[in-house]
Amino acid sequence: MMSLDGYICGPNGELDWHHVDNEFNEYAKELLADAGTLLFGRITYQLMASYWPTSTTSDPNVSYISERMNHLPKVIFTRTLTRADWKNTKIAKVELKAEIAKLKKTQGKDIVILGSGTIVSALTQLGLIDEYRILVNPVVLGSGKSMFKNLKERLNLKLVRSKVFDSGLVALYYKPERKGVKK
Amino acid sequence: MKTRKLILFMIISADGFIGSANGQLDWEMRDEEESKLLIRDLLTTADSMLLGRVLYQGFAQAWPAMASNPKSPKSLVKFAKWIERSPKFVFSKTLKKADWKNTKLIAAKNDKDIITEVNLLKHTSGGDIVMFGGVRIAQTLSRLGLIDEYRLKMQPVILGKGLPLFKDQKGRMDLKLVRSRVFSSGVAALYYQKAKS
Repeated sequence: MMSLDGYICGPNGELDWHHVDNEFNEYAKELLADAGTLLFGRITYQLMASYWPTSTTSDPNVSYISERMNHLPKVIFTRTLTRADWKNTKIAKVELKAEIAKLKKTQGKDIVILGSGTIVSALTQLGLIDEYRILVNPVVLGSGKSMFKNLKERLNLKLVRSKVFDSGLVALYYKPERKGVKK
Repeated sequence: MKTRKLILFMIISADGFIGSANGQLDWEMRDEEESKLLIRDLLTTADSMLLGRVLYQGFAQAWPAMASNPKSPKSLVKFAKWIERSPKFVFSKTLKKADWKNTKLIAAKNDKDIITEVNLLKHTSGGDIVMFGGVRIAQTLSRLGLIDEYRLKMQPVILGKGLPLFKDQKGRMDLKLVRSRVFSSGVAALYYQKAKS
């Protein structure tokens, strides 16, 4: 989820501007149904781990999302956390590149990174992300944290799919253009 | 009388920049289909232009030549002629004169001047006023809340750093997506208006 001015959260981590509604939940359901493993950086992990285990709902979509979030295998990349108490979660023992290589070799379903700005940034530099799904929210935050400010060079993308939600949210699915690869 | 709408029509990267760090626009996708459709949209309601000094000087140089060049694509010639004949309002602190056809120079030295002049303009009779840039004036007018509609051509690129559209904005601005169109070039044209609070 991104604001129109390129932030993934407000200056103090605010996420209240996310346009989450039933249509979005349908989208999230589809995303999680195709997921085999979830990846997180510490901040996003702590946010999710404090919410999903105890969330209760009568909404069938949210119920499914909750079930998936709690049961899917999860990997955290962190230099500081030594234990992760959320169900089915492990802390990556090897560094980013090696862990991703391992996961890509063993996994059949998608490896999905939610939030996790620092991880996305690092993985982008390594050229290890296969698809970016940027959800542009109809809001300008004015300030906040951006995911890509440490990019060494611009990232050229190819739009492969898009979806416009009634809330004004726009999902843009991009694949990175690889150097030397024919478009 | 209906207030005239100020429309900003610019390219933007997926991460919110309207220029790369050195002001380059070389990351813009050239797409004939896209420019034809979006310009046609624009010209149905817009009948004048607002611009800052830098863009004015660039336009005054490039567009008359484009209009008279027999090699120019037809759609561009049409657009060039529209630019030539349409009223142009140039906001500048420093320019002493603006000689291009149908151009009015507005001396706006500070935020207060800009707000006054833009509001005056919006209360004259006429159609929508379009701004194609430049970066500085777009940033200023956006910050001052003077832009009524943002028509952003989101390019399939993440720049990481650059010149942001929404610079020095105080607090949040909620928007309403009023239209969107995706092109085969990968450009997503997104039209936003300010949401009613």
